[in-house]
Amino acid sequence: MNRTAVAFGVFFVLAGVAFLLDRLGVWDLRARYLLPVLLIALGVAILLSGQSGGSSGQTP
Amino acid sequence: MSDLPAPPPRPPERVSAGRLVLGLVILAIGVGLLLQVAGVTDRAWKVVLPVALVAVGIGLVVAGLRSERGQGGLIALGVVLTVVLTVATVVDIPFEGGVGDRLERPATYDRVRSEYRLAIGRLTINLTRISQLGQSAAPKRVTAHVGVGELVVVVPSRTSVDVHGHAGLGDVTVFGRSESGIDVDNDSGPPPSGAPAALSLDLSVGVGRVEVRYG
Repeated sequence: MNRTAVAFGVFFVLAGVAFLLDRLGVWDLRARYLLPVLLIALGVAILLSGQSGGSSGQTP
Repeated sequence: MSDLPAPPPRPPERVSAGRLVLGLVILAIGVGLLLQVAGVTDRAWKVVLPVALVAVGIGLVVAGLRSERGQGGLIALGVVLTVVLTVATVVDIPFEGGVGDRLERPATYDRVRSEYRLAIGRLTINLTRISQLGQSAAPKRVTAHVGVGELVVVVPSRTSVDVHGHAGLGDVTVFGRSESGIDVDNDSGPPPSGAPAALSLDLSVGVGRVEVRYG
């Protein structure tokens, strides 16, 4: 499994859904919380992708 | 004649999930851009980018689970989409209303529009010539938005005003009280014991400054 791709994929799906709900008026995405939350999520994604050991994230 | 053995049959090529999604996303962005430029709709364009980001994410998850390598292009596209959507969420820039400095100074109550918009520049709405404010049972509602720049509203002195000011990034000053930063709100209402609001202002800028003052 390529953990880098999966981690970034999950991050992008969650971020995309949040932006979509904001655009549709279902959820008001407050800008003041947006940047720190995105940075936290991106950091978690990078940390998770790094657990595989290599830069490609490949595991046998 | 060659003694080399016949090459083994090539396995059927598996379509790369990443490449498939990358192509679909670029196609969707192109269609959304075309629809907006052609003036067909701008609502589709609003959801194209978030949907594209979700598609990129799904493509990455599928590619990752299939142990496909070389997803750097898809990750880069996802990062770009995330940055663009973040900026677009913080800074609401309308692609309408024009560019430059504009002064709106309606002479009569009926000439006060319910909505004013400017994409980039300085918009000044001077309401000091309006004498009928407060004579109606319901407050006069005015919405104004500037994408990048300055929005100034001058109201007649001693007028009871209900104000909601917002800046995606910048400064909001309402009757001398300032708030600044990211996603700034600054509200002011008539005193509880005073006269009901004659004027209701909903004012916002994407990046810049909002000011409400008495004239």
